[in-house]
Amino acid sequence: MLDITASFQHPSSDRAPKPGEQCIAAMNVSHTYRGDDGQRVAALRDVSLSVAPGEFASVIGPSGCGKSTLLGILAGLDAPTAGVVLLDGQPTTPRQRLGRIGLMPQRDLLLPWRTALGNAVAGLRVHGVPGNIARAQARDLFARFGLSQFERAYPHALSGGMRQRVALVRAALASGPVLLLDEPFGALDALTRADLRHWLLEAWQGLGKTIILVTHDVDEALLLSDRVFVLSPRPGTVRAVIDVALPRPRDLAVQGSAEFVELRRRLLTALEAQL
Amino acid sequence: MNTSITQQRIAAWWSGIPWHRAARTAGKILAPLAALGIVLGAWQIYVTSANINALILPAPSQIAQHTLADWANLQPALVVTLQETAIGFAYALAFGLGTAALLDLIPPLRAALSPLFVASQSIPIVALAPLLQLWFGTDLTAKVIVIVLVCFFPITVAGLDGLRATEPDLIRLYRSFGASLWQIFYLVRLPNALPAIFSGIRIAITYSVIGAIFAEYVGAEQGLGVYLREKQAAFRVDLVIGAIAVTAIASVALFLLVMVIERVTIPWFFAARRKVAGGEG
Repeated sequence: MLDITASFQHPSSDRAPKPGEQCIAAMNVSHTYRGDDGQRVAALRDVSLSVAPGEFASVIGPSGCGKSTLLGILAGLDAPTAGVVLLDGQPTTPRQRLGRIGLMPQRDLLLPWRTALGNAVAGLRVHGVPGNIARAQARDLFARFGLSQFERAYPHALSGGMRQRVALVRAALASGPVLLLDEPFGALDALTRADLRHWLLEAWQGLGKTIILVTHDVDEALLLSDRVFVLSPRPGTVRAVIDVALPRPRDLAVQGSAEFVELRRRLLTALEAQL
Repeated sequence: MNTSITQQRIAAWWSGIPWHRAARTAGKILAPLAALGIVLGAWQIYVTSANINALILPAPSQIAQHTLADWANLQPALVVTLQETAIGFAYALAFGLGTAALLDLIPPLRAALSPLFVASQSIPIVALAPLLQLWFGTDLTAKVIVIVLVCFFPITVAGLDGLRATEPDLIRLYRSFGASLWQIFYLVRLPNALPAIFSGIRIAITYSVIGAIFAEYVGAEQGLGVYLREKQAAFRVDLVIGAIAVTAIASVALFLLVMVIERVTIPWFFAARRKVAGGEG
């Protein structure tokens, strides 16, 4: 069920999504909820997006545009008012998605009473994977991503960046091929963010996961993603989809290139058009 | 073993001792002892210099002397009371935590019962204890019920608050793993509630000794409550105060025991708190 080697699919050199191939998709998803004052708030309207296996997609939008609501719906935590979410082309109920999609929240939310390794196996424990097997899987990932020396450390002894790494390993172990990252680097300083972006790309390429990253950072979206979905202010709806066909790794030379600058201009234009 | 390595290890051990923390801990212990010493000293000076009748207010030195002289009678009473306390507190702990878990997991039950539990705290035990003695006699049952009545409330309230204090985002994360309500309860919410539960236990354990003595006071064959009642009837103020002091010492000892158990059970809580207090990282 959760043998991560089974979900390995090394991303092909051509990362462009093949027609019809989708790993996770939202179709005409709308969501309204009743606010504290009893008024109905429309958070999302008619959001459709489709992400291919192994793709790195970003969702960007102004704050309060319903990005986190969208992730909650994709993860199966909330039922949308309208619309459906497909996994591998099959329509699913929210309950069916629970336990199949990895979620990495903005704050690491590591349990202070567990070591880094103990936290990393949290999802596997919920799934009933025996402790020694779960720990072996986590140790394997810790070794591959340079975290081995922190296995026994408790969260309070880890830096913010290190805690986020553990949180990503936890999400990766807890789920099938899809990982949802909700502004995972939002609370970190600029240097740590840059460091973690590189690390995240390595992890993504090593694990062959499909990633949907929510961010409000234009450069972050362009440096990491294959595609960027731009959401409008509330009620959020997909206003633009921007393909980022830049070569990887996207080092400083790429960031200075005319293509990068042009993509950045298009992305900012799409964002500003709505404000 | 190589001498220089041994020396290095000793040096490392020596420098590894958190002296500043040790000094703070010593201060925490010495300050209340000094305050107590001042009060007892003033008491002693007042009684001797003002020539107070020892039958009304004996001097601390006299109390200590006579209490130690009567230790052969006091000690068995203390043992009986502590046994009752231990049994009663164990029941109170089980009942308090069980109630907290049950009320937390079944919201309608919480709505129905928590006002009644609050109301139960307004019942004067003074009025209830004789009735319990009437119904259950002078055996252990009545005393255990009194102790449970006195002790369960802080444990239940602390447990309920602790269980409810879990971050909603953490619960959502575990739901995203596909965790059941029960898994969320024992993997996340219960451990998360432990610091709060220990606060409740610390309060309850100090009540428990008082509860046991009160139950004995009303009706028992042995114990500190019986001892107190007998010495009161015999106008032995010195022995009454001595027994009260012994009770206080026993309560403090139980309180410290809970703190030690707390340190061993949830070291992560204190480690994280120290870090916050130290303002690091």
